[in-house]
Amino acid sequence: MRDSTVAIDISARSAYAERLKRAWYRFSRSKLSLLGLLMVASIIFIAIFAPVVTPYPEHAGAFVDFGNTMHPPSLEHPFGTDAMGRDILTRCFFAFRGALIMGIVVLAIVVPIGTAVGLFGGYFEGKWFSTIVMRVTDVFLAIPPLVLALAIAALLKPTLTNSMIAVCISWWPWYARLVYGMTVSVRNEPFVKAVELTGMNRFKIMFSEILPNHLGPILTKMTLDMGWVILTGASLSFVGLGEQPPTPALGTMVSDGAKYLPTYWWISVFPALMIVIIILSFNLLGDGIREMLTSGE
Amino acid sequence: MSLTKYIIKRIVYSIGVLFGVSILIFVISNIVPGDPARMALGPRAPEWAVEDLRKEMNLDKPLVERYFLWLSDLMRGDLGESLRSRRPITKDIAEYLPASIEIIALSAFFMAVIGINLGRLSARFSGTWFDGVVRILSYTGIVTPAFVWAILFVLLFSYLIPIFPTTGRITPGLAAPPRITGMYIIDGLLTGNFRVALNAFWHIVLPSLALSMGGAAQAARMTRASMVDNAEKDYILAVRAYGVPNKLIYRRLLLKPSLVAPISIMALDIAALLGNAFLVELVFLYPGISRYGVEAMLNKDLFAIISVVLIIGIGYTIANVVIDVIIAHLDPRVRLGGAKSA
Amino acid sequence: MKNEEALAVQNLRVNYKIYRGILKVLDGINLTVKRGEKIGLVGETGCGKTTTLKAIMGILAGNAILSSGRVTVNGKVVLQRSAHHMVRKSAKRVAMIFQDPTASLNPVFTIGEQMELVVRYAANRSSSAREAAVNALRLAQLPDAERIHTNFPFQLSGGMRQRVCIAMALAAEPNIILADEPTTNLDVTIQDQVLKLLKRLCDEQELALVLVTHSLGVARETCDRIYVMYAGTIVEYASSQNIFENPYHPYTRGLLAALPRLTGEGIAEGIEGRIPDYLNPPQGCRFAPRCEHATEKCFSTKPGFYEAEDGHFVSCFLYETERGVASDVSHSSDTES
Repeated sequence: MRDSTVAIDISARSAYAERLKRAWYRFSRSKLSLLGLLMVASIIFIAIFAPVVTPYPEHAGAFVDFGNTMHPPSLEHPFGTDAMGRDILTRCFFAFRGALIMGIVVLAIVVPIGTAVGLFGGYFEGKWFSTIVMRVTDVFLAIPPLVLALAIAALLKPTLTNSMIAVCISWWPWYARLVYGMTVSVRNEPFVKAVELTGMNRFKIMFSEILPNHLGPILTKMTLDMGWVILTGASLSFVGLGEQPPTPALGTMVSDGAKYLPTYWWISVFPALMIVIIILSFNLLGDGIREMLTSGE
Repeated sequence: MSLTKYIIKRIVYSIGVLFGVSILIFVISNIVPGDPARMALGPRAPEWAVEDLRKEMNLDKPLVERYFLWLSDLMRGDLGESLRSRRPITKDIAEYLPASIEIIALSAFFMAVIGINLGRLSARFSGTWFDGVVRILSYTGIVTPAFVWAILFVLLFSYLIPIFPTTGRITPGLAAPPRITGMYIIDGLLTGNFRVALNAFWHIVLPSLALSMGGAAQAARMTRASMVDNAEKDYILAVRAYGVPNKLIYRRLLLKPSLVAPISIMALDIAALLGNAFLVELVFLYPGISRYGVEAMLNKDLFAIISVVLIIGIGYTIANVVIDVIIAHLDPRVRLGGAKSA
Repeated sequence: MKNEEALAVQNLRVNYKIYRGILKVLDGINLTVKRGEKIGLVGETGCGKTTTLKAIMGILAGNAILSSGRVTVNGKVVLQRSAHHMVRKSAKRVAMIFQDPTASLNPVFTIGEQMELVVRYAANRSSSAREAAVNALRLAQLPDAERIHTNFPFQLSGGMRQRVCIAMALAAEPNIILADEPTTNLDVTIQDQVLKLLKRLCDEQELALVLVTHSLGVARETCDRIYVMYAGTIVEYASSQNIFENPYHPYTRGLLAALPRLTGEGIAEGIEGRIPDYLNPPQGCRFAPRCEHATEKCFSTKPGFYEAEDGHFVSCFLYETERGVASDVSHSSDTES
C-alpha cells in the first residue's frame, strides 16, 4: 500500500470522490468486470424498454398465431417462434422484467432481515436468545434452499408474488449466517469494546459500528445472488410453480420447449441461454465488485 | 477428542436439527392460507367430502396436537397417505427413493472426482493452456444451471450422438432386477444381472453428469485456488528445496491441506444438487423421489410434500455429517480439537 | 582453497516481475562461507535477505528472474544464469530454517511424516528413516522425541515448532544451514534458547551457518563474520567484532547508532528516509539518497569493494583511496537481462 500521492488536507467530499475514483480504477482494471457491468446494464435496459426494443411486443401476452408456429430462428424471429406462433426473442426480453423484479424484491426483503438476525445473533453470541435464533437459522439451512422454496411455493397459489415469498423464506438464513460469522469475528475487537465503554446503545453499536464493516461482503453476495435468486425463480416456474402463462417466464418457456426436444430445440434453448446470460452477467459483476473491495495496491 | 467422539457429537447435533426441520416443515405446511383438504380435492368437490378429508387429516384439531400426532406416526414409520395415489407415502418413497439415491451418489462422486482432479491438474500446470481451458470450463460450469445442462445433454445425446439413453431408469422391455435395495445397479450386481446393472448405470450417466457440473466446476476452481495459494507457503518451498519430487508434492503434500476448502464448499453444492434434482429428473423423465415430489407439489398432496422435504432434509443432513467427517479426517485441527482451520 | 568454501554466491542479481513493472531486488550479491563458518546477513526488512536465501535454496518464486550470477554449494554450481534462462540444480546438503515455524510445517501431516520425507529425499536414506528423524528431534533438544514424532504441528508451542524445524534441517544431513530470522516469531524468552541451540549444533557438527537477521546484536552473538545488506546490495563485511568496533559504511554506522531502538520495523529513527523503490532503484550507490556523505559520483556510479582493514571490506567511495579495489561489482561480464 505504498502511496506517494496521498494529500492529507482534502475535504471529506473530495476524499469520497477520490475513494470512488480509486474503486472505479480497481474495478475497471479487469475487462471481465466491465463486461459484467455492461451486460447487467443491458439486461436492465432491455427489461425496462421491452415494449420498445422487442420486435413483437404484442406476443408477450396471450397471443396466438397458428400460421406461424414453430418457426426456426430466422431474420424475422431471431430465436424462432413457439407452439403458439409467438416470437421467442420478444417473450424472453419481456421475461427479464419478472426475473429482475424477483431478484430485486427478494433481496430487498431478505438482506435486511438476514443481516439483522446475523448481527443480533453474532453480537449477543453465547446468550440464550442468540443461541435460539441461530439454531432456528440452522434448521432453515438444513433444507436445501430450492427444495424449501419449491415446497412453500407448492402450498401457495402459483403467482410471481408467491414465488417471491417462497424464495425469501428459504434465502434469509444465508445472510444471517454470513453476517453472524463476520460479527462474531469483530465483536471483541478493540473498536467495539471502546464504544461499549462510552455506554452507547447496543443496537446503535450493532448498526453504526459493526455493520459498516460487513457492507463489502454483503454487497458482493447480493450482486452474485441476483443471478442465483433469478435462477431459483426460473426453477420454480420450470416446475410449474411460478408465474403462470401467458405472462412470459424464462423457466416456463424452457420447460414448455423441453417437450419439443430435439426437433424444435430453439424453443427451450434460447430461454435457457438467457438464464445463463443473466447468471453470468451478475457473476462477472459480483466478481468485479469483490475484486474492487478486497484487492490491495 | 477422538474422531469417533467428534462424529457422535456431530450426529447428536444433527438429530436435534432434524427435529427442528420437522417442526419447520409442519408449521409451514399448516399456516399457509387456504384449506389443504379443499386444495387437494379441488374446487368442485362437495363440501361433505372436504369435511371428511379434513377429519382424516386431523385438520379439526389444534396445530400443536396435530404436530404430535403426525410426529408419533412418523416415528412409527407412517408418513400418512398420499391424497393422489391413495397409497401409504412410505410405500411411494420406498419405490422412488432408491432411484434418486443412485443418481445423487453418482453425481456426488463425479463432482468430487472430476472437480478435484481438474483443479489439481490445473494448479500443477498453472499458467499453461490447460489451466486456461479448465478455468473457462469451470466458470461456464458454475454459471450454467443443472437443468440447462440436462436439456443440452438431451439435445446432444438423443439427436447428435445417441450413445447414452435420455429417458427413464432402464430400457423399456428389460425387466427390473429382483428387489433387494431398490437400486437397480446394486441389485443387478448382487443378483448377477450384470446386463441390467450396466443398463441402469448407462441411464443415470447423463442425469448425474448434468447434476454434478456446477459442483464439479466449483470444486475445480476452489481446489486450484487453494493449491496455487498453498504452493507459495514455506512448508511446500521447504520440501521442494529438499528435493522431494514434484509428483509427490502435488499429489499429497500440497493436495491434502488444500482439500479442506473445496470439500467444505461441497456441502453447499450438495444442497444445490438436491434442489436441482427436482428439475433434472423431470427433464430425463426419471422416476425418482424428486419427480414424485414435483407431482405431489403440483397436486397439492400435502403429506407427500412434507414427507419428500423431510426425506431430503435427512439426506442433506447425512451428507453434511459425511463431509464434516471427511474434513475431520483431512484436517487434524478439526479432528483433535485444536485451533480453527486456516 | 576451493575445497574450503561451503557456499559461494557471485554477482547475484534477482528481479521480480510484477503488475507494475520489474522490481530490481538483488543488485550483485557476493558472499562466501567457509566450511564450519557462521556468517550473519544483516539488514532491514525488505532488503533482500530472504530472496538471497531462497536463491541459494533454489526456491525463488515463479515471478523471479535471475538476471545474472552463480551460486556454488560445496564446489558444485547449483544456480547459474546461462545464455537465456536460469539453470537450477537442487542443492544437496543445504537446509533452510524459515522465519515462521508455523508456516514452515505442513499443518495436516505429522512431524514424523514430514521429517521422514526430508530424511528420504534430502539425506538419501530410505532405510531407518524413522530412527533418523527421532534422532534429529533429540539433537534439537526436544523432550519426548518419540511422542513429538507422532504429533501434528498445531499441537506444539511456537518454540517447539522452531526446534522441530531445526531438527528437520538436521535431518537433511546438511553441511550448510540457512536460517531466515529463526527467532523473530518467537517469544523473547525462548529466542535466546533457540539461537544458542542453533549455534551449539553448528559448532558440534561443524556446519556452516548463514543467519539472516535484522538484529546486529543477534548476529554478533552467533556469527564469526557479518555481511551488512542494504536494498539488495552488500555494503560492508568483516568479522563480527570489527563490524561492531569499527564500522565504516555510513549505513552500518547508522544501524549501530540506532541499535538500542532497533526493532522489526526498521531503523526509521536511526537514518533519515526509507529503502528505495525497487521499481526504480538509484543508479549509483543504492544508499546514496539517504547518505549524508553522498557526492555526485555516488549517485551516478556503483561503488566497488574497498578493503578498509585486513578482511574488512566496504562498498563506499569514502574509502576508495584507502586500499584500492578488492573486487568490482559494477563491471561484471555477465550482467543485465
